[in-house]
Amino acid sequence: MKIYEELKARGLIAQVTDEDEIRELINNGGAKFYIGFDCTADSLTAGHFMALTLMKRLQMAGNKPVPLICGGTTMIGDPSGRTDMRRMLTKEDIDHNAECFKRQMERFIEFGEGKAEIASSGRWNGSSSSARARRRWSTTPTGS
Amino acid sequence: MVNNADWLLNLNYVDMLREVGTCFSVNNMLRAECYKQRMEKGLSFLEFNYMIMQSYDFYYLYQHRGCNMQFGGDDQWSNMLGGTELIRKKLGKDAYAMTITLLTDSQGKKMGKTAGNAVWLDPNKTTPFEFYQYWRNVDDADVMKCIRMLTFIPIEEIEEMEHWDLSRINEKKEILAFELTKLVHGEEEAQKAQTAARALFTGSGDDANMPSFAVPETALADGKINIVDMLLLGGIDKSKGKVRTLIEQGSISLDGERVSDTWMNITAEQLKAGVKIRKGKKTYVKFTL
Repeated sequence: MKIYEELKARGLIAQVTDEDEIRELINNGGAKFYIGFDCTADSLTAGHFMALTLMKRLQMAGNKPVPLICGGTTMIGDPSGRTDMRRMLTKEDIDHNAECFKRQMERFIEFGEGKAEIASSGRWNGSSSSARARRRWSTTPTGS
Repeated sequence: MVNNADWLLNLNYVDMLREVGTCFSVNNMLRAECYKQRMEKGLSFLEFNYMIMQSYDFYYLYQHRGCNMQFGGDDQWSNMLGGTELIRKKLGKDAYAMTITLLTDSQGKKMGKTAGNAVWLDPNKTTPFEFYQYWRNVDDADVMKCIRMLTFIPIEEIEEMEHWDLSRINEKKEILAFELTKLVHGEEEAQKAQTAARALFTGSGDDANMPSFAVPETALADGKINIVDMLLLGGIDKSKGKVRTLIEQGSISLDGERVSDTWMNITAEQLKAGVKIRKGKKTYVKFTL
């Protein structure tokens, strides 16, 4: 079973822009993809966990994940699914949250050569994180 | 890992408007689900720009990181389409988007929350034991769905599990809880959480990972303490009356046995050995001396 079919069998796919192209792309490891994480709290939640496992599944099928920490868009605040405006967070809070997210994510996504992309620009000098990153997922992601 | 603060925070307003503002139709934007919901209660101009920012991310990552695809929660659909549209309009290229199903329980409620609080991945905010217990206690109707969507157990094995006898429901819940705790906190923590959780049900085994409360010696009279006083002291509920009600409702168990007598006393010897109290389905506290 290829990855697209697996995602489907697991009930993970909600909507796609172009089914045939996407199937072709991810089944052949041709996707370089990102998922954005808004930094609205100082820890990821079980809700984010599903997105992280999705990244891992796609990575295991040869696609390349680019985790995106949304330190910029969190300054705006996503109105999706909300009936009122979010409390505006300070830049300091957002930076702190982003740092927490980064630390947690390193446990899930494997970085390094040919793995997930790390930005060398900006605040993060993320290249030293790969050792810690390999700790968890790289062992036995298939479970029992 | 990238942070969109790096390219969004220094954008120049007028340049930005001229570069991408022309590609967005306000009329179309207002039709997006996330904005439609806000037509009555009001939508600030700040938030209205969220879609443009998220679209710009895709446009930026396509050009600078070669990202050809974005994934996201299903509530992000219109923002993600904004990105593929922007790439098409600005660059004449195709990029793709896929949304993932939101994890909801059989009643349609978003999962990953307990009584309004999020289940965190940070062990200081949600301990591995609490994390384990959250999944160990999902409704029967939701177990297989969670196993499918969240674990890495191969599909063939999952399909086999679908045919398991109904009596094995708790085994499924243990598998779910163990697998997820292992992924988030590592195998050792998952093992500890499982051992502690099992100990609660059987009243034996290792309970070192259970939340505990030490009863101060001064609270004992003649080497014993009334159960209601002890539970109140340990914060099981806020008043004596409430604790009594819990006992009368049969919501309190002591070492696996339901407590029915509010006059019951706990001795210093029992406390020395550790007394495991369970309140309702999910709260456990070990009382010690």
